[in-house]
Amino acid sequence: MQFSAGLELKLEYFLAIAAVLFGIGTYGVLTRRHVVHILLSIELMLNAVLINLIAFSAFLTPEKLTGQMFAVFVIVVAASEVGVGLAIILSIYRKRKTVDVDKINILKG
Amino acid sequence: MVITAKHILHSSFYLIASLLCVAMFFIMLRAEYLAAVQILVYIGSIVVLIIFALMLTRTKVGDETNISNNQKIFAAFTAMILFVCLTIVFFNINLEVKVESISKVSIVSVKQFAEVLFSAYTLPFEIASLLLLAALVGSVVLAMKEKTEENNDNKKFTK
Amino acid sequence: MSIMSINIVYIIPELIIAFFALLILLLSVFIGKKFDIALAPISVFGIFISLVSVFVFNFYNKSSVFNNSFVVDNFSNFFRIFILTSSLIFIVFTFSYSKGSIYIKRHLGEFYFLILMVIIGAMLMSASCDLIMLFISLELVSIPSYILAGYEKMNEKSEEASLKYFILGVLATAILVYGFSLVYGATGEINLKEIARAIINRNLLENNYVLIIGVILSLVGFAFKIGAAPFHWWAPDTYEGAPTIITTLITTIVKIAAFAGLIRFLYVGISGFKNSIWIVLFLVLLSLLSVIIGNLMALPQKNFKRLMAYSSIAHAGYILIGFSSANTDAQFAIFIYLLAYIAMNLGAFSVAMLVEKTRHSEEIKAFAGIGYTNPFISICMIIFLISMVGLPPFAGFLGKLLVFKAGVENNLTWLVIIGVITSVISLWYYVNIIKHMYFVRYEGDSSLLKIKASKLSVFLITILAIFTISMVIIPSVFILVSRNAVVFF
Repeated sequence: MQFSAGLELKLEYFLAIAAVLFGIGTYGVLTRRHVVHILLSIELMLNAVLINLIAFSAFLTPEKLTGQMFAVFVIVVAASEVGVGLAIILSIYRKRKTVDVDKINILKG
Repeated sequence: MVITAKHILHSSFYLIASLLCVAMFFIMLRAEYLAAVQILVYIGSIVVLIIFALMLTRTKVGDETNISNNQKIFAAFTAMILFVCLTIVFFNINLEVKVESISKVSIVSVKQFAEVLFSAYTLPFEIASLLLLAALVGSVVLAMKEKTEENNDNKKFTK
Repeated sequence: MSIMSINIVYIIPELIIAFFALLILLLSVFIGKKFDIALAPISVFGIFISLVSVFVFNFYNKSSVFNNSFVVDNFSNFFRIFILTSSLIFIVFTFSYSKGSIYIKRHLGEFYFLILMVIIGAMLMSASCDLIMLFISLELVSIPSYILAGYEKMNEKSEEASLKYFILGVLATAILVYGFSLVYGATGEINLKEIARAIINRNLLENNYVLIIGVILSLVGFAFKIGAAPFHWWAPDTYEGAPTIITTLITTIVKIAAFAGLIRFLYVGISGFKNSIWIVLFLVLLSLLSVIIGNLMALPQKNFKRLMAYSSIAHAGYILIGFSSANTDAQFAIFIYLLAYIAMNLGAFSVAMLVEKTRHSEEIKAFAGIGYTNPFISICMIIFLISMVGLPPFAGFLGKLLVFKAGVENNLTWLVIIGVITSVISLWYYVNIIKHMYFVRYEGDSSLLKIKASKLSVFLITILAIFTISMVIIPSVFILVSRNAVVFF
């Protein structure tokens, strides 16, 4: 199982990829108008977290598996969040026939 | 791509692609069980759930012209700052790396994984079950179709 | 296996609540509507037993269990008692509120189940001692509260509140857990005490920016949850839109839980955070902005719940002043402030719920004239409001005094001065409510003039008012309690 034939895989590369994902996710959350789009962007951010955790787990504490355990719980939480979120979106859609955040604005901040 | 695709269904397919890539990273990082979990839970359920929701809310088919709001510049700025800071920091700081190369890390077997999960992390595991139950019950309550007539509901509950 | 059976003793209070939550869920499914009347008494009973069990099993039995991820120490015991007592009062209010709402009545079993889940989450939060536990119990607090905020399904406001709370809450979670992952990466540990040890041994706070960015991102996440200023957008909308009873839950128990987690994270985990200029600067910035924005934005508000949202943002700011210092004095100042905060908020919201129930309005105008029709409740309301301003004979005064004292001792006199000035500003909008209560005529249906209040709720409001006063009359008791409460294991 040699993946790194020429290039030595370092911790930093994985962290950088995670940072890219996190940045893209942040951008998406801030700009998109569709609620589901926002949810997708948040999933990207959570995936960045997962890469971080597992990379740290492999490089820093390979025998204790702490990062991997953390990752499992992050996945659990992500799943339940998506479930709840879609329920909320569905029940909002039933009444307003829209899922655009800019149009959901009865309450004015 | 997930966030730039005009059509939301496309962007969820792009999400599947990026999740698969993340699963590849997990395999590279010797976390094969988690890679499987990633594929099963994320792609198998989360994305499918999202696509279901899209179908249920009958999002307009076809390209939406204006998918983003007017914070683009600010958002891009924030995201760039975050990314640049993080990357600079990652490449400049010596984390206490115990393993120099990933090829030296041994693959985690499912058995090992379970042993750790059910010895040291029992309590969070139990809480996670409560969390899932609460989320399940809550989503059912929220997504349930409401009959405006009271008596219809009563029939269902008091059999 | 024998180790397990010993460990279970330490989580008995949580287990009891979980048992009752599941019992309620099952009973409401299998027995159905006829059973609804018994649900609130069952939850009260469950919380009461759990409260007793804290005293019986945990009070003299301190330890750190489950791979040191769960600690039973003075801090967690006091917080558990604190949370359980306030939820006891809260559930009794629920009982009368739920009668007025069709949707809460229709899904009453699930309603109590979700509230008990929030309570378990809050209790676990105060006792958790590693990042996984902190994270997952924070989620156990927030996910049910997203759902509860949208519980009045036909009310578009409630749904919108739920959506906004959900999106920003999930974003906060993502940022928080990214921060946690960086903290883990920098120290190689997830246990808070091990993190503290690693930081001291390797002197990480001085030069390791991965750790510092991690801590700051975690603080951003926490700031979302406690509603501190640059991250407060969700608060006014959610507070206004959610059913009032859930607004009460969000301002009291959810917020206290987030603060408990923050105290654990900063004081046990990143215990030397004072040494890092960045982290302190960030905290000071948060509290400065919250105090200013909270108080200024509250001025033009006409809706009571919205006003309370901004006021609670301001209170979060005052509490954060206490975080800018790391000694025990500041910790117990924060604890006292939280005690005062929860008492006066529960009180003010319970009066507002009574008003809302009779007059079907949450505007400040709805308070008009209750000073003459319901003199006793109005006096209690005045006590709560003046206490929120922080004027002397009430609890808020003690909290603010101690927090400001901690601020001055840490050379943050300018921040304290701003705090005092904004407190004076806050007098304006609190007094505005009092003005409506006494000097404005109610312009609605004259049959709604007198607020209907059940004996039970008047009794609880009285208790809260007495508590608010007694914190200043006999401060030594509360100071003694809090001094003991901030002893970590």
